Amino acid sequence: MTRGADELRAENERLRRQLTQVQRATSTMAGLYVAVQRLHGTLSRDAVLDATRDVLANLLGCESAAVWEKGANGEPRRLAGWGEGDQEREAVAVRRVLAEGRTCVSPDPRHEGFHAGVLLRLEGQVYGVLVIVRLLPQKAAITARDHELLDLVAGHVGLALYVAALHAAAAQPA
Amino acid sequence: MNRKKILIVDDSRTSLFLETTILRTAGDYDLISAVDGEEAVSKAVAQRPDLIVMDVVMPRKSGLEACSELRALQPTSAIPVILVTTRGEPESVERGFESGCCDYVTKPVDAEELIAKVRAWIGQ
Repeated sequence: MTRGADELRAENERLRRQLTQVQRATSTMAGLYVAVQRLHGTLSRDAVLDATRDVLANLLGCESAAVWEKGANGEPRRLAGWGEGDQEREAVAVRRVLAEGRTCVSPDPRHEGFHAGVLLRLEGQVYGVLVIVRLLPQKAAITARDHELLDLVAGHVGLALYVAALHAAAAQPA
Repeated sequence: MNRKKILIVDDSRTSLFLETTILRTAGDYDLISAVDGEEAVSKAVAQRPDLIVMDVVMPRKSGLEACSELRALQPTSAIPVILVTTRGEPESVERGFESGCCDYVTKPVDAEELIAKVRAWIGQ
């Protein structure tokens, strides 16, 4: 009888852990689904940038962020920013991410002035950098799950901005 | 058995979409939505949801104002309201409870937390 009860408890615990994992995965998938719907639901650059702000705030708990693009001469240019931001420190972060060619998560955000710099890539080409400057007070740090979502979202931000630029160019009279 | 009805209120399309997606996968709920506090009060009076999940910072009427109004109206006074706050500091939470909410979650919304709180108030 005791053994049966112990087995039931163990099975119950196993199922509970499994359910938690499924709910976490669902949450990540739901977040990505929502981000994709928002970012690709428009052809206007301003609307893409607005959707980016909304997605970063509501999916990742980001209070301040900025999008920088790589100009034709290779120099980064600030496309948009939200919340409090220090553009000089953002520029330092952007140059570092571009130089390293990969996403950087700051080990000391307070000192460095940013939490993460994420490359915006399109077909292997670097399009720009998404800088996460500050998180909401209740969000202590960027977690591994956020990191994964951030990389996926950044890919879609890059694509949506590229499509919006193509659309704007096509809409101009010849 | 009647499906439980949940009113989700948020002016952010991302947040509204995310909360709807989370709750749609969590149970057999009847989900309705509103994009500000004013629409929330009017829909709550007309459709009498079993639970309201509502953002705090919204145009026209904030979540706190809407919550106070819902408490004062006889048809909606007993409907539990879970506030979704951007700020998790004690004073923000306290203002939420003063307005009459029964619980709160902070942004970014965590699916497990939201589902657990919704189930605690209205079941599966």
